Amino acid sequence: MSTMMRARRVGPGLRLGPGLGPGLVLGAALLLGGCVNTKVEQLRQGGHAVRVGAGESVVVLGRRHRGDRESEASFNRCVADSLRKRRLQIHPDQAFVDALFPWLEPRTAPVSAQALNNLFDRPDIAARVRATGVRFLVWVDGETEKIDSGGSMGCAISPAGGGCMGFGWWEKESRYEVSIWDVHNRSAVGKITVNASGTSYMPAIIVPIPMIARTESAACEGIAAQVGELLAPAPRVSAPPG
Amino acid sequence: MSDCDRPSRRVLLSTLFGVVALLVGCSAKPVVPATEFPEPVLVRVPASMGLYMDPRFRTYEHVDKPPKGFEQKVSVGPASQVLFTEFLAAQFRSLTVLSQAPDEQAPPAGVEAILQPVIEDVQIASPRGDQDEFHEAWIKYRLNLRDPRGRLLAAWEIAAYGKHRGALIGGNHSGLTAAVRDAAAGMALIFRDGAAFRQRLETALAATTSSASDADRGASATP
Repeated sequence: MSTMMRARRVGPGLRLGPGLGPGLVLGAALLLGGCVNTKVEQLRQGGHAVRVGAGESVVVLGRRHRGDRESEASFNRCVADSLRKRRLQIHPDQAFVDALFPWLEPRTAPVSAQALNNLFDRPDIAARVRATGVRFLVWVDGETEKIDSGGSMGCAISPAGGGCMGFGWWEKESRYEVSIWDVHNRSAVGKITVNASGTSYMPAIIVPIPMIARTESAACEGIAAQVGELLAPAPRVSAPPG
Repeated sequence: MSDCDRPSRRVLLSTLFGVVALLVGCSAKPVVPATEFPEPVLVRVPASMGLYMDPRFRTYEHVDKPPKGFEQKVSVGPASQVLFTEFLAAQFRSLTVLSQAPDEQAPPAGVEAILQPVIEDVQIASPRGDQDEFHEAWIKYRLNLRDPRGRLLAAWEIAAYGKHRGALIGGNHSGLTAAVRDAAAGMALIFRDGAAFRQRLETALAATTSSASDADRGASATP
């Protein structure tokens, strides 16, 4: 049975109150950002969350291709850190790739469910995976790219001082697809797709004021939230009183 | 300062710059990839192999001349030597590292065939701008399979490729290290089917043995 969930979230907009000092404007602009539209879809295989047992861990791997498409290491780290905050035990990705060397290199890494199952069917590979304690594999595929940009800005410096004038903008889109695999049961737990887009602005009146739309960060949080729903961490065992 | 001083100062500065550039060029250490690799997970092929790596392979150095920036030396040999030795030792039932070329010594005892890796080419592409965030490395290897007397039985081309975000070419996390690791992935695919490789090796050895016997008979029959 599969259940489809859909979530939509709109990021913070830019609101600057009147009468703020230039420093406060700059600080607020840095804290705020451009708008980000994030669409997250989750496909759950079992209809319920899977419990991660004590001593079991999750590894976040960027799907490794030999071509141009390859998820950024920083994005994978962001997803891993967000999952760690959700009390999931995260295994370092490079240590997992090294443990299965050379079968997760871009040339040999499985690109389909069947290929993944074939790999984990090998007794030597299965033994290495067991030794790592990894039960769930989170495959991240996708990228963040600049899709449009415009405006112009000029900066000048002289003995009397310097400054910038102008306005620049750029639009970024983060598209990721995440598959979660249970390597013990050789089954898919779920799939998440996220699409976050946003436009960043940089007006400059003497000082450039960046208003960045953090699409990658929004996509990362969206993915981590959904993975956190699919994989329930083991309950904390508290010591009995006395 | 008088006008006649200017040319001499220019000459002095140019000479100084040239000397500094020469010293930097001479003393710059070559860029090196990682020389430590994880223990590979492999099913051993039932064959006793020899491994011969000639001095050119072991010390192979590539001189990278980017369109912009400084020329730099990239040392690929030592890392390749470590990778091929460790990988092939884990891949075969036994591996004997040979110090002499197969055709310069008597056939080594207990060695069914000899593998000889060769580096044919190295290319480095550094990032050129904001849109080009990766640096890439290609290492073209050729893996020769020879019989114990040094006669060529088969050869495989391994076009190893690695890329990494950022401009640093050397180090543990670099396109160059990824390319050397990719060579291991390439070899893992070549020797994945151990039984098929064993059969192919036996067929090739039988073919060279029979052709050598024919040649010997022909030579002895010649008056």
